[in-house]
Amino acid sequence: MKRFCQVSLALGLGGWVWAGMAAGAETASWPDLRTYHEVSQALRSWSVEHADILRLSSLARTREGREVWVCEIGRGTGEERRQRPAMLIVSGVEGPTLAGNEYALGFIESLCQTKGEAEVNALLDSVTIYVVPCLNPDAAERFFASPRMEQTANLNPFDQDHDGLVDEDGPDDLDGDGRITWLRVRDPKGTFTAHPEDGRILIEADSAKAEAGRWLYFREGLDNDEDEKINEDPAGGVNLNANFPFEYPQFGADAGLHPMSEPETRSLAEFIIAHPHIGLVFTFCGQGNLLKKPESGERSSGRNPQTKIRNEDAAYYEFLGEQYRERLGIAKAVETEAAKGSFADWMYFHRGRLSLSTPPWSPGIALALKKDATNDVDAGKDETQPAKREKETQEKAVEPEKVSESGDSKKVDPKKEDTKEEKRGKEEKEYLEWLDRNAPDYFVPWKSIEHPSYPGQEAEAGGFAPYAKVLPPKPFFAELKEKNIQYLLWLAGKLPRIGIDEIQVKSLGMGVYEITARIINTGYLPTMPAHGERTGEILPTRVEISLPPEAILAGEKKARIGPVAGSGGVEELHYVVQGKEGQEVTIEVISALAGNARKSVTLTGKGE
Amino acid sequence: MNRKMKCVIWVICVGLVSGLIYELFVSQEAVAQERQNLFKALGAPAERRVEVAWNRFYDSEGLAEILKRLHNAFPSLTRLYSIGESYQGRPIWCLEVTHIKTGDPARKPGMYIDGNIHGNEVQAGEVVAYTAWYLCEMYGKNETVTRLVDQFVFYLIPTINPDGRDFWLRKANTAHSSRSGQVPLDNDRDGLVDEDDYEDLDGDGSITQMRIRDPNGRMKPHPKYPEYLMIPAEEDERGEYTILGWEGLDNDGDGRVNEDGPGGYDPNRNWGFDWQPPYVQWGARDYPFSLPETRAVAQFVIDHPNIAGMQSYHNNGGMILRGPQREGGDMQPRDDHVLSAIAAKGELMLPFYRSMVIWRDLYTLWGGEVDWFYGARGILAFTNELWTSQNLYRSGRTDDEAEVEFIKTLLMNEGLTAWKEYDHPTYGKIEIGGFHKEWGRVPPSFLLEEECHRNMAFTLYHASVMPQAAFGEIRVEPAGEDLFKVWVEVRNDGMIPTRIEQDVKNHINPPDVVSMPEERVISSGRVADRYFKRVEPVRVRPYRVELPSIPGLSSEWIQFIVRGKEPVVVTCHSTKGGHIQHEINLSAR
Repeated sequence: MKRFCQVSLALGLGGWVWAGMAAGAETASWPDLRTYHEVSQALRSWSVEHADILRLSSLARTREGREVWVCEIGRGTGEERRQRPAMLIVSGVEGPTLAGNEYALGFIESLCQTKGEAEVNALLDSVTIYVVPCLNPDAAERFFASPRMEQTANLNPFDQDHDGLVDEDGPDDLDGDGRITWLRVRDPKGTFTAHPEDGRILIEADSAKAEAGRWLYFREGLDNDEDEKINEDPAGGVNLNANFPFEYPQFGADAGLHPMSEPETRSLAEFIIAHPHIGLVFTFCGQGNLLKKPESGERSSGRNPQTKIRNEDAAYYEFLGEQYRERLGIAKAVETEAAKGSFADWMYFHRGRLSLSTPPWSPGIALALKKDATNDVDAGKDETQPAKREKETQEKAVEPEKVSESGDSKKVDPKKEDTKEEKRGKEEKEYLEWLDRNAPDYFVPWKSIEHPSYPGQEAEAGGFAPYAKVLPPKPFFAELKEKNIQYLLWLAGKLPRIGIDEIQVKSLGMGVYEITARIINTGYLPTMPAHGERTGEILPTRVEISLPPEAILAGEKKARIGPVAGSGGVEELHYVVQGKEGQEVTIEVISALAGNARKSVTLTGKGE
Repeated sequence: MNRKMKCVIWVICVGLVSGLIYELFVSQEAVAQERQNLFKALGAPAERRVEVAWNRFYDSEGLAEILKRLHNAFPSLTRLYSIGESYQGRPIWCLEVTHIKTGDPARKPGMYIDGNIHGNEVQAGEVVAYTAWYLCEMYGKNETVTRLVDQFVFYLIPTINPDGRDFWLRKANTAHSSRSGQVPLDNDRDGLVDEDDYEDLDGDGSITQMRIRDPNGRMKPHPKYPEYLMIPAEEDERGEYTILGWEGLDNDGDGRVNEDGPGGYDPNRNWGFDWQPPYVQWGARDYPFSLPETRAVAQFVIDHPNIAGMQSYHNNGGMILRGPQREGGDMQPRDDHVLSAIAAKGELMLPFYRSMVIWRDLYTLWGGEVDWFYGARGILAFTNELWTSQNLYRSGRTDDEAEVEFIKTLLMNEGLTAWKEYDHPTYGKIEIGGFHKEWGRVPPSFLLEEECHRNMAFTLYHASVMPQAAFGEIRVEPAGEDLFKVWVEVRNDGMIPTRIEQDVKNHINPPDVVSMPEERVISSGRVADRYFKRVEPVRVRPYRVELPSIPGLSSEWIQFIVRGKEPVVVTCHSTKGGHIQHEINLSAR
């Protein structure tokens, strides 16, 4: 009896601990994210507690009734804030960018909490900061939905497969694990094959390499409308990051019927137009011109559209990008996919503003980080790779199938494959190795399942969990968030700033004076980007002298000057005027993106 | 009762009795006289329920009034509604013309006609209003019109820029000024908005030209018409005048005259297909459909996918324009073939009008209306540039002298201001004169109705070739006990396919669907060759067969394998070709 009790107690305890561990392992790697309600509550309470610097309003209401929040941060009156150089931070243009939303919210919170400290204090009096923490809250909320799924587009109904029925076939949680993962089905029509070195990864089969695809590979779901296609018309919608007019993907699958078709994108555009002093935009999204110097080119000829960043502007992208990678601890440049019709591109190519962007997290970032959680060795450096890979291919050689001339499948000797590295799926495979070390529950092991469209066929559910490629695992989240906040703070200090360095007065006798005014840009960025000048969407810098036109013998009462480079770039204006000794003359400079300045001087001096 | 009171009552009675007599006898007689004395000239009804003078222009309220009167007079043929509001809050009126009793308007092939997107191109409004008037008044009197109004639905929007129209008509302008709408724009980018417009300094109702005597000038008076015209001086000769520009002042003291008037953009560059920003395409504004007027039209068209033909009206030049608007823009070969054929017909109806491709024969533009209708919505679309001065003498002669002669002899000097002195605050002694705004781009009064009728006829021709789905031959063969092989022919009686190539290629609208009740259909297929009986099976949902399109003046055959002896209903839903049904009797064969 005693023994029985001991054993059952042990078993019971062990079972409880095991269950606890299993449950914990389920959620151990995922960061803590806030729901829409929690975000709204936080923003509302900050806007009350810090009403001296933070104003909260809504750009638009989404289909599901959520507000698209925008915050304006800065001290002083509305008029004062409108005249200062301004920066805009946007996240959540694509639904799954929740990490970026949290970084942006963290930035707002940080400014509120440190508003009394020297650096932030000065910033709040000299620049205005706008933050749109989430442009697509309906999609972002799908992280908390049951089942959890990655949702890029908004939730306006859209007939994606053009069959006259709307939103009739979306993903389904077949294995009941509470999330939409992936399915693979062995089928003669399959075009995917297992990665030779890691059978968990699927790559496109290449018949030129004598590979036969054996797997169908698609998101977890059923053929709800019995048209032999699966998940071809899910709920929603338009991908807001494909809904902007620059290189708009006409007829793109999720681009909407025309540019700016959605209330979210249209209201953001109207906001930007109504706040023309925004000179710098920072976007968390899938494209990263901060992670790698973007392609650039010359000014396009004639009236042809500019399709590459101007060389003159690219120099600034390069510097700001290098700084970003250094401060974030990203060891090397990271490739990201281009996107047509994106918000970030629209801001540069059509609105003429400097437009920086980065994913808040990606497999490329993970692999380029200078350290990861389990080893302090530079996981991102190439030299260590070949050794590791060789070890792993010996450990987990999953037999890739190759069809020989006689038609039999043959097992491939992994040692022979060492010399030629498989380039397909390389980043995915390396990321999976990284996840094995740092966040194992980001990948759901493939498990057998029955699929009604493929009765009797081998089918498995599993693969990368939703959000596995876009959310930093918990051990990394807090640090990355803090580093991004610090970068944004640093960036806010890089805006252009116009000033009047000096006004010299020389008397030419007989009441005639020569005035020379030197305008200076003490900020880092130029008063407008090279392409910004060309778009005409930024008002030229105006310099006005207070004297009436009759008193001005040479020079313009209302002059315009071209762009002024940062870091002490100057422009001089010359006037010859008539006035009285002791008369005060004021010169005012009004810059669209670099603020205003004015200085007064007295007409004085002896004649020749 | 006192004397004064008696007088008052007496006067009132006399008045009442006179009125009564008039009503009973005189006015009736006048009406009777009208009916007796009115006879038809070909092309318009003798008796009209709505009388409209087509030899003058109407502002947006005037056009709206015409539409309202038509709607009140023809309630079973028309619906009147606003599709949205302009920037200044004017409704954009649409008169929907179709017979209410011959089917659901939303399911009839639709002909969309609008005009006057450019504020100064006003005669477009009259052309569209005339179209509405003609269709209503001739219904029941003319077989062709009756058929068109029964089978199709017409969406007639005389002006999609009422702000610009009223600004041009009511204020002093040139023939070209204010093609824009009235949304403010800082054209000279000086931080002030719309601060320096033209001024009608000499008060003649038009903005004409300013010239100044200048020994270094390159212009000299025309030898025959010195009070009106100038010609360039010879290369080796001193001229006498310099043209300063259009009438105006430097309102904002920036050294420039008339550089920032109201608006100052081009609403026909604000459409969401192949759109480019202002530094590439002048006037395009901030993003596609950022203007309330273009947005209202776009939403209307998206909400009415049955629209199968489109016409917009501009001025001037005498052109029948089709896309693409830029080299390399979307234009599928088969669609171009149909557009060309329709335009060729138009050249026969409209003297001196030429069928042209926008980028190739006119100029390149981005974000235009016609390309959006065609490219993004899959609708065959035209723009007509109304009026060419070749019509003045029907001889093709278009020089300045000919125009002055016309004004002097046929318009009794209306339309020109002779050069007259004026004291300008900046320039000093100058002269002001020139052609009025009503000259050059809009027709004179007596040629306006002609313009209206001819262009209307072109659009009625376009409408008449719109797709029309119809069931043709039905073949039934028994295939076993309670089983039948049914072949259904679906015809398109119009020249335009039910879905044009641009539509099919880009999946703009859903395919045509031919269907039977689900429980009756065992299998179905498309008959690829009905002589050799080659049938392509439909694999999924056999009860609804999807057809990419039914080509113009052609048919598709569908095979259904049907169970059960009872009659079966076959339906064809074509977004632009119409929705039709037919009951097939199986056992009687």
